[in-house]
Amino acid sequence: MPRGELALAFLGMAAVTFVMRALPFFMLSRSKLPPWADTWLSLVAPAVMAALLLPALLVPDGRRLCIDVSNPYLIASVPTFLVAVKYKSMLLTVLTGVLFAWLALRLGSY
Amino acid sequence: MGSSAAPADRKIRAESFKQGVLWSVPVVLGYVPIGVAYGVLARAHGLTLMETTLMSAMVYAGSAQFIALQLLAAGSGPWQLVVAAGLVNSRHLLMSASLCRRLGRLSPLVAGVLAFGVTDETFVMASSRIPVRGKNPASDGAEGERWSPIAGAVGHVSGELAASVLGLNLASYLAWVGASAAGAILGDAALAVAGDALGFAVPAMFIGLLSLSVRGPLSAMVAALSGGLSLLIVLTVGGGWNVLLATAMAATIGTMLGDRFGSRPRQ
Repeated sequence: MPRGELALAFLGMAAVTFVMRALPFFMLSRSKLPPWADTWLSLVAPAVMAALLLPALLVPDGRRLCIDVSNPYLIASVPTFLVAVKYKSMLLTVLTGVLFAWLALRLGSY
Repeated sequence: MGSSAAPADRKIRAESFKQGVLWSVPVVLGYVPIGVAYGVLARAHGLTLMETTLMSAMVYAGSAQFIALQLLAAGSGPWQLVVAAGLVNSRHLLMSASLCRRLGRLSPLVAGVLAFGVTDETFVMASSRIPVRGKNPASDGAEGERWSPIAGAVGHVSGELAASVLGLNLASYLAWVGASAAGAILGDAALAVAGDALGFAVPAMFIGLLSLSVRGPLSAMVAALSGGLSLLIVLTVGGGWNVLLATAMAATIGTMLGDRFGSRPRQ
Protein backbone atom coordinates (compact mmCIF):
# COMPACT_ATOMS: atom_id res chain seq x y z
CA MET A 1 0.00 0.00 0.00
CA PRO A 2 1.47 3.41 -0.93
CA ARG A 3 2.39 5.74 1.96
CA GLY A 4 -0.40 8.19 1.17
CA GLU A 5 -3.02 5.44 1.25
CA LEU A 6 -1.60 4.20 4.54
CA ALA A 7 -2.16 7.63 6.13
CA LEU A 8 -5.71 7.57 4.73
CA ALA A 9 -6.26 4.11 6.19
CA PHE A 10 -5.07 5.28 9.65
CA LEU A 11 -7.40 8.28 9.52
CA GLY A 12 -10.33 6.13 8.50
CA MET A 13 -9.57 3.50 11.16
CA ALA A 14 -9.26 6.20 13.82
CA ALA A 15 -12.55 7.80 12.75
CA VAL A 16 -14.66 4.62 12.71
CA THR A 17 -13.12 3.42 15.98
CA PHE A 18 -13.88 6.73 17.69
CA VAL A 19 -17.47 6.69 16.37
CA MET A 20 -18.01 3.21 17.86
CA ARG A 21 -16.68 4.40 21.21
CA ALA A 22 -18.41 7.77 21.33
CA LEU A 23 -21.83 7.06 19.79
CA PRO A 24 -23.48 5.75 22.99
CA PHE A 25 -22.35 8.85 24.90
CA PHE A 26 -24.04 11.14 22.40
CA MET A 27 -27.22 9.27 21.56
CA LEU A 28 -30.19 11.46 22.46
CA SER A 29 -32.32 8.82 24.10
CA ARG A 30 -29.44 6.91 25.66
CA SER A 31 -31.81 4.01 25.35
CA LYS A 32 -30.54 0.46 25.31
CA LEU A 33 -29.87 -1.23 21.99
CA PRO A 34 -32.53 -3.57 20.66
CA PRO A 35 -31.85 -7.12 21.88
CA TRP A 36 -30.89 -8.47 18.44
CA ALA A 37 -28.26 -5.73 18.00
CA ASP A 38 -26.90 -6.51 21.45
CA THR A 39 -26.56 -10.17 20.49
CA TRP A 40 -25.05 -9.43 17.06
CA LEU A 41 -22.42 -7.08 18.49
CA SER A 42 -21.45 -9.51 21.22
CA LEU A 43 -20.93 -12.24 18.60
CA VAL A 44 -18.68 -10.11 16.38
CA ALA A 45 -15.60 -10.48 18.59
CA PRO A 46 -15.45 -14.32 18.63
CA ALA A 47 -16.39 -14.41 14.93
CA VAL A 48 -13.63 -11.99 13.87
CA MET A 49 -10.96 -13.77 15.89
CA ALA A 50 -11.88 -17.20 14.50
CA ALA A 51 -12.10 -15.86 10.93
CA LEU A 52 -8.59 -14.42 11.22
CA LEU A 53 -7.13 -17.36 13.06
CA LEU A 54 -8.15 -20.41 11.06
CA PRO A 55 -6.66 -19.34 7.71
CA ALA A 56 -3.52 -18.05 9.48
CA LEU A 57 -3.00 -21.46 11.09
CA LEU A 58 -4.17 -23.82 8.36
CA VAL A 59 -3.29 -21.96 5.14
CA PRO A 60 0.19 -20.59 5.87
CA ASP A 61 0.99 -19.80 2.22
CA GLY A 62 -2.44 -18.29 1.51
CA ARG A 63 -3.37 -20.96 -1.05
CA ARG A 64 -3.06 -24.56 0.12
CA LEU A 65 -4.44 -26.25 3.21
CA CYS A 66 -1.59 -27.57 5.40
CA ILE A 67 -2.81 -29.80 8.25
CA ASP A 68 0.19 -31.87 9.34
CA VAL A 69 3.21 -31.81 11.65
CA SER A 70 5.32 -29.87 9.12
CA ASN A 71 3.24 -26.75 9.96
CA PRO A 72 5.03 -25.11 12.92
CA TYR A 73 2.25 -22.56 13.64
CA LEU A 74 -0.30 -25.37 13.85
CA ILE A 75 1.90 -27.23 16.34
CA ALA A 76 2.49 -24.10 18.40
CA SER A 77 -1.23 -23.32 18.46
CA VAL A 78 -2.01 -26.43 20.57
CA PRO A 79 -0.16 -25.39 23.78
CA THR A 80 -1.16 -21.77 23.09
CA PHE A 81 -4.86 -22.70 23.08
CA LEU A 82 -4.48 -24.73 26.29
CA VAL A 83 -2.76 -21.85 28.10
CA ALA A 84 -5.31 -19.32 26.77
CA VAL A 85 -8.28 -21.38 27.97
CA LYS A 86 -6.73 -22.25 31.32
CA TYR A 87 -5.23 -18.91 32.35
CA LYS A 88 -7.28 -16.33 30.38
CA SER A 89 -4.16 -14.13 30.23
CA MET A 90 -3.12 -12.37 27.02
CA LEU A 91 0.46 -11.97 28.16
CA LEU A 92 0.93 -15.62 29.08
CA THR A 93 -0.80 -16.73 25.88
CA VAL A 94 1.39 -14.65 23.58
CA LEU A 95 4.58 -15.67 25.40
CA THR A 96 3.63 -19.37 25.21
CA GLY A 97 2.80 -18.98 21.53
CA VAL A 98 6.08 -17.34 20.59
CA LEU A 99 8.10 -19.82 22.69
CA PHE A 100 6.47 -22.87 21.10
CA ALA A 101 6.61 -21.36 17.61
CA TRP A 102 10.33 -20.81 18.15
CA LEU A 103 10.78 -24.43 19.29
CA ALA A 104 8.66 -25.82 16.45
CA LEU A 105 10.58 -23.80 13.85
CA ARG A 106 13.95 -24.93 15.26
CA LEU A 107 12.98 -28.60 15.67
CA GLY A 108 11.23 -28.65 12.30
CA SER A 109 14.42 -27.76 10.46
CA TYR A 110 16.25 -30.88 11.66
CA MET B 1 -16.64 19.74 35.09
CA GLY B 2 -15.02 22.94 33.93
CA SER B 3 -12.83 25.81 34.90
CA SER B 4 -15.49 27.20 37.23
CA ALA B 5 -14.93 24.38 39.76
CA ALA B 6 -14.21 25.55 43.28
CA PRO B 7 -10.70 24.83 44.67
CA ALA B 8 -12.08 22.13 47.02
CA ASP B 9 -13.74 20.43 44.06
CA ARG B 10 -10.54 20.57 42.10
CA LYS B 11 -8.63 18.93 44.92
CA ILE B 12 -11.19 16.12 45.09
CA ARG B 13 -10.94 15.65 41.34
CA ALA B 14 -7.14 15.56 41.46
CA GLU B 15 -7.44 12.80 44.08
CA SER B 16 -9.95 10.95 41.90
CA PHE B 17 -7.63 11.28 38.92
CA LYS B 18 -4.75 9.76 40.91
CA GLN B 19 -7.06 6.97 42.02
CA GLY B 20 -7.80 6.25 38.36
CA VAL B 21 -4.09 6.14 37.53
CA LEU B 22 -3.75 3.48 40.25
CA TRP B 23 -6.62 1.52 38.70
CA SER B 24 -4.61 1.42 35.47
CA VAL B 25 -1.70 -0.63 36.89
CA PRO B 26 -2.95 -4.08 35.75
CA VAL B 27 -3.96 -2.61 32.37
CA VAL B 28 -0.54 -1.02 31.88
CA LEU B 29 1.20 -4.27 32.84
CA GLY B 30 -0.81 -6.01 30.14
CA TYR B 31 -0.33 -3.28 27.52
CA VAL B 32 3.44 -2.97 27.72
CA PRO B 33 4.39 -6.43 26.38
CA ILE B 34 1.61 -6.50 23.79
CA GLY B 35 2.40 -2.94 22.68
CA VAL B 36 6.07 -3.88 22.31
CA ALA B 37 5.07 -6.96 20.30
CA TYR B 38 2.91 -4.75 18.08
CA GLY B 39 5.79 -2.31 17.55
CA VAL B 40 8.24 -5.07 16.65
CA LEU B 41 5.79 -6.66 14.22
CA ALA B 42 4.83 -3.36 12.63
CA ARG B 43 8.50 -2.75 11.82
CA ALA B 44 8.74 -6.31 10.48
CA HIS B 45 5.74 -5.51 8.24
CA GLY B 46 7.58 -2.52 6.77
CA LEU B 47 6.03 0.34 8.76
CA THR B 48 8.34 3.13 9.88
CA LEU B 49 8.79 4.11 13.54
CA MET B 50 6.60 7.15 12.86
CA GLU B 51 3.83 5.12 11.21
CA THR B 52 3.93 2.45 13.91
CA THR B 53 3.56 5.02 16.68
CA LEU B 54 0.99 7.06 14.78
CA MET B 55 -1.32 4.08 14.29
CA SER B 56 -1.24 3.43 18.07
CA ALA B 57 -1.80 7.10 18.90
CA MET B 58 -4.65 7.55 16.41
CA VAL B 59 -6.50 4.22 16.42
CA TYR B 60 -5.60 3.01 19.94
CA ALA B 61 -7.14 -0.43 19.49
CA GLY B 62 -4.83 -3.44 19.82
CA SER B 63 -6.79 -6.06 17.95
CA ALA B 64 -7.66 -3.69 15.07
CA GLN B 65 -3.98 -2.75 14.78
CA PHE B 66 -2.80 -6.38 14.69
CA ILE B 67 -5.51 -7.12 12.13
CA ALA B 68 -4.31 -4.15 10.07
CA LEU B 69 -0.80 -5.63 10.02
CA GLN B 70 -2.20 -8.97 8.93
CA LEU B 71 -4.26 -7.31 6.17
CA LEU B 72 -1.31 -5.19 5.02
CA ALA B 73 0.77 -8.35 4.69
CA ALA B 74 -2.00 -9.85 2.54
CA GLY B 75 -1.88 -6.79 0.25
CA SER B 76 -5.24 -5.31 1.26
CA GLY B 77 -6.28 -1.77 0.36
CA PRO B 78 -7.07 1.07 2.78
CA TRP B 79 -10.83 0.45 2.72
CA GLN B 80 -10.42 -3.11 3.93
CA LEU B 81 -8.44 -1.83 6.91
CA VAL B 82 -11.12 0.75 7.70
CA VAL B 83 -14.03 -1.69 7.40
CA ALA B 84 -12.15 -4.27 9.48
CA ALA B 85 -11.48 -1.67 12.20
CA GLY B 86 -15.16 -0.66 12.22
CA LEU B 87 -16.30 -4.24 12.44
CA VAL B 88 -13.90 -5.42 15.11
CA ASN B 89 -14.35 -2.26 17.18
CA SER B 90 -18.14 -2.29 16.95
CA ARG B 91 -18.03 -4.21 20.24
CA HIS B 92 -17.05 -0.90 21.87
CA LEU B 93 -20.64 0.28 21.31
CA LEU B 94 -21.67 -2.13 24.05
CA MET B 95 -18.89 -1.04 26.39
CA SER B 96 -19.46 2.69 25.91
CA ALA B 97 -23.20 2.22 26.37
CA SER B 98 -22.53 0.48 29.67
CA LEU B 99 -19.89 3.01 30.76
CA CYS B 100 -22.03 6.05 30.09
CA ARG B 101 -24.83 4.52 32.13
CA ARG B 102 -22.35 4.29 34.99
CA LEU B 103 -20.99 7.83 34.67
CA GLY B 104 -24.16 9.84 34.29
CA ARG B 105 -24.31 13.24 32.61
CA LEU B 106 -21.09 14.61 31.16
CA SER B 107 -20.26 17.63 29.04
CA PRO B 108 -19.71 16.76 25.35
CA LEU B 109 -15.98 17.49 25.64
CA VAL B 110 -15.50 15.22 28.66
CA ALA B 111 -17.67 12.53 27.07
CA GLY B 112 -15.60 12.67 23.88
CA VAL B 113 -12.28 12.47 25.74
CA LEU B 114 -13.44 9.57 27.90
CA ALA B 115 -14.99 7.76 24.92
CA PHE B 116 -11.67 7.86 23.04
CA GLY B 117 -10.06 5.85 25.85
CA VAL B 118 -12.61 3.01 25.94
CA THR B 119 -10.86 -0.33 25.30
CA ASP B 120 -11.67 -3.89 26.37
CA GLU B 121 -9.27 -3.57 29.28
CA THR B 122 -10.04 -0.04 30.50
CA PHE B 123 -13.75 -0.84 30.26
CA VAL B 124 -13.39 -4.01 32.33
CA MET B 125 -11.37 -2.11 34.92
CA ALA B 126 -13.72 0.90 35.10
CA SER B 127 -16.85 -1.22 35.27
CA SER B 128 -15.40 -3.34 38.07
CA ARG B 129 -14.89 -0.15 40.10
CA ILE B 130 -17.98 1.88 39.19
CA PRO B 131 -21.44 0.41 39.77
CA VAL B 132 -24.30 1.08 37.36
CA ARG B 133 -26.19 4.09 38.68
CA GLY B 134 -29.60 3.76 40.22
CA LYS B 135 -29.34 0.01 40.02
CA ASN B 136 -32.27 -1.20 42.06
CA PRO B 137 -34.81 -3.90 41.39
CA ALA B 138 -37.74 -1.49 41.38
CA SER B 139 -36.57 0.84 38.61
CA ASP B 140 -34.86 -1.52 36.14
CA GLY B 141 -31.61 0.27 36.68
CA ALA B 142 -30.44 2.42 33.87
CA GLU B 143 -31.97 5.87 33.97
CA GLY B 144 -33.71 6.66 37.24
CA GLU B 145 -31.01 7.96 39.53
CA ARG B 146 -29.73 10.68 37.27
CA TRP B 147 -33.00 12.59 37.54
CA SER B 148 -33.48 12.08 41.27
CA PRO B 149 -34.19 15.00 43.64
CA ILE B 150 -30.52 15.02 44.66
CA ALA B 151 -29.43 15.70 41.08
CA GLY B 152 -26.80 18.20 42.23
CA ALA B 153 -25.05 15.62 44.38
CA VAL B 154 -25.20 13.08 41.59
CA GLY B 155 -23.64 15.57 39.17
CA HIS B 156 -20.84 16.17 41.63
CA VAL B 157 -20.14 12.45 41.92
CA SER B 158 -20.23 12.23 38.12
CA GLY B 159 -17.31 14.69 37.94
CA GLU B 160 -15.27 12.62 40.37
CA LEU B 161 -15.95 9.40 38.52
CA ALA B 162 -15.06 11.07 35.24
CA ALA B 163 -11.74 12.23 36.74
CA SER B 164 -10.96 8.67 37.83
CA VAL B 165 -11.81 7.23 34.42
CA LEU B 166 -9.68 9.97 32.83
CA GLY B 167 -6.71 8.93 34.99
CA LEU B 168 -7.24 5.27 34.12
CA ASN B 169 -7.65 5.95 30.39
CA LEU B 170 -4.77 8.41 30.09
CA ALA B 171 -2.24 6.16 31.85
CA SER B 172 -3.35 3.18 29.77
CA TYR B 173 -3.17 5.19 26.54
CA LEU B 174 0.34 6.48 27.27
CA ALA B 175 1.48 2.93 28.11
CA TRP B 176 0.11 1.62 24.80
CA VAL B 177 1.60 4.36 22.63
CA GLY B 178 4.92 4.33 24.52
CA ALA B 179 5.22 0.54 24.33
CA SER B 180 4.44 0.61 20.59
CA ALA B 181 7.21 3.13 19.99
CA ALA B 182 9.62 1.14 22.18
CA GLY B 183 8.78 -2.01 20.23
CA ALA B 184 9.37 -0.24 16.93
CA ILE B 185 12.76 0.98 18.16
CA LEU B 186 13.66 -2.51 19.43
CA GLY B 187 12.24 -3.99 16.24
CA ASP B 188 15.26 -5.11 14.31
CA ALA B 189 17.16 -6.38 17.34
CA ALA B 190 14.15 -8.36 18.57
CA LEU B 191 13.66 -9.86 15.12
CA ALA B 192 17.31 -10.94 15.02
CA VAL B 193 16.90 -12.80 18.32
CA ALA B 194 13.42 -14.32 18.09
CA GLY B 195 13.19 -14.12 14.31
CA ASP B 196 10.37 -15.94 12.58
CA ALA B 197 8.81 -17.08 15.87
CA LEU B 198 7.62 -13.52 16.51
CA GLY B 199 5.37 -13.88 13.49
CA PHE B 200 3.30 -16.21 15.65
CA ALA B 201 2.67 -13.44 18.21
CA VAL B 202 -0.30 -12.21 16.15
CA PRO B 203 -2.07 -15.58 15.79
CA ALA B 204 -1.27 -16.22 19.47
CA MET B 205 -2.95 -12.96 20.38
CA PHE B 206 -6.01 -13.94 18.34
CA ILE B 207 -6.08 -17.27 20.21
CA GLY B 208 -6.04 -15.34 23.50
CA LEU B 209 -8.76 -12.93 22.40
CA LEU B 210 -10.85 -15.80 21.01
CA SER B 211 -10.73 -17.71 24.29
CA LEU B 212 -11.73 -14.55 26.17
CA SER B 213 -14.63 -13.78 23.83
CA VAL B 214 -16.15 -17.27 23.69
CA ARG B 215 -18.62 -17.45 26.57
CA GLY B 216 -21.03 -20.27 26.15
CA PRO B 217 -22.30 -22.51 23.36
CA LEU B 218 -23.72 -19.79 21.08
CA SER B 219 -20.46 -17.82 20.79
CA ALA B 220 -18.48 -21.07 20.42
CA MET B 221 -20.77 -22.15 17.57
CA VAL B 222 -20.46 -18.74 15.89
CA ALA B 223 -16.65 -18.83 16.21
CA ALA B 224 -16.51 -22.31 14.64
CA LEU B 225 -18.86 -21.26 11.84
CA SER B 226 -16.95 -18.05 11.16
CA GLY B 227 -13.58 -19.81 11.12
CA GLY B 228 -14.91 -22.47 8.76
CA LEU B 229 -16.48 -19.93 6.40
CA SER B 230 -13.33 -17.81 6.39
CA LEU B 231 -11.23 -20.86 5.56
CA LEU B 232 -13.64 -21.89 2.80
CA ILE B 233 -13.52 -18.42 1.21
CA VAL B 234 -9.70 -18.31 1.33
CA LEU B 235 -9.42 -21.75 -0.31
CA THR B 236 -12.04 -21.10 -3.02
CA VAL B 237 -12.03 -17.38 -3.93
CA GLY B 238 -8.83 -16.34 -2.17
CA GLY B 239 -8.08 -13.94 0.70
CA GLY B 240 -9.13 -10.30 1.01
CA TRP B 241 -12.69 -9.97 2.25
CA ASN B 242 -12.83 -13.43 3.88
CA VAL B 243 -12.64 -12.09 7.46
CA LEU B 244 -15.35 -9.48 7.01
CA LEU B 245 -17.71 -11.74 5.04
CA ALA B 246 -17.32 -14.71 7.39
CA THR B 247 -17.77 -12.51 10.47
CA ALA B 248 -20.91 -10.80 9.18
CA MET B 249 -22.48 -14.08 8.07
CA ALA B 250 -21.62 -16.02 11.24
CA ALA B 251 -22.74 -13.25 13.62
CA THR B 252 -26.01 -12.87 11.70
CA ILE B 253 -26.73 -16.61 11.72
CA GLY B 254 -25.81 -16.74 15.42
CA THR B 255 -28.16 -13.84 16.20
CA MET B 256 -31.05 -15.57 14.42
CA LEU B 257 -30.37 -18.87 16.20
CA GLY B 258 -29.81 -17.19 19.57
CA ASP B 259 -33.07 -15.25 19.37
CA ARG B 260 -34.95 -18.38 18.37
CA PHE B 261 -33.61 -20.40 21.28
CA GLY B 262 -33.97 -17.46 23.62
CA SER B 263 -30.39 -17.84 24.83
CA ARG B 264 -28.67 -14.51 24.62
CA PRO B 265 -25.05 -13.98 25.60
CA ARG B 266 -24.59 -11.05 27.94
CA GLN B 267 -21.50 -8.97 27.70
